[in-house]
Amino acid sequence: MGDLARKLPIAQSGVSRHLRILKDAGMVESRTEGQRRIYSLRAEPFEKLSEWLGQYRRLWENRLDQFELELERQTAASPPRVELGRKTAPKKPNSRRTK
Amino acid sequence: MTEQQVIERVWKAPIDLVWKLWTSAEGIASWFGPAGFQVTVDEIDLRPGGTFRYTMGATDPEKIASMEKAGRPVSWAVESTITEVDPPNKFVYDSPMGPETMTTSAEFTEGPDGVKLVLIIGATKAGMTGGAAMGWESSLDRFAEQLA
Repeated sequence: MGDLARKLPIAQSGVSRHLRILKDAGMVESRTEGQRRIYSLRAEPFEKLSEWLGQYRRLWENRLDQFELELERQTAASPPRVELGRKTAPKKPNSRRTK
Repeated sequence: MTEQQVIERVWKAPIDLVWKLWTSAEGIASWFGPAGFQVTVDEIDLRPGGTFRYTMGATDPEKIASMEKAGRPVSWAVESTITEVDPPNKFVYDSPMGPETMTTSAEFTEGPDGVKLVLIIGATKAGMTGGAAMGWESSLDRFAEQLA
C-alpha cells in the first residue's frame, strides 16, 4: 500500500480508503506480511465484465440475424410486387373484359 | 475499466434501406426484440442529444409466465441518449445499464460487396460498489433470460 501511496497524488489514508472500497467490491484482495499490507487484483470481476459483454455480443448477433432477415424481406419485396401486379392486373385483358 | 466487443457484417442492400431499418421506429420494431419479445419504439429523435426510448415486452406466453413467477416485470422501458448521427453512415447512443453506461456504435460503409456494418458495443465501468455489483448481476440475469 505504501508503494501505491508514493505513486499517487493523494494521502496514504485516501489510498487506504479507496483500496477498502475496491476490496468490499471484490475487485482486489489483501494479505498482511508483517507490517505491510499487500493488495492484489482479483481476476474474477474482470472476467465477469467480459462475460457480461459477451452476453451482449450474443444478443446482438441474434439481433443482426433478424435485421438481415428483415433486410432480405424488404429488398425481395419490391421487385416481386411489381411482377405480381403485372400478372394479376394485366391492362389489356382488363380493358377487354370491361368493354 | 473499459471493454469492447466488435461485430462486423456485410449485406447486399441499398445503404439507405439499411439506415432506415436501423434508425426508424417501424424499422427497429421489426428486428430489435430478441425471440419471444416485442420492441416498441416510443421515441427516436435523430440528433445528438436526442432521446431513443423503447419498451421491450415479452410476447411468448411461457416466458411471460416464468417471468411473472420470478417476480420480474414482463415489460420495461430503456431510455438511451443519441450521441452521434450521420445519415446514412453512423449512429451512436449511450444506454444506462444500472450504474454503468453502455455505448452502441454502428457504422455503415458502402463497398464492392455491399454495405459493411461495424458494430461496437462498449461498457465503461468506474469502480464497483456492492450495490453496483448487484445491479450488474441482475442485468446479467435479465439478459440471460432474453437470450434463452
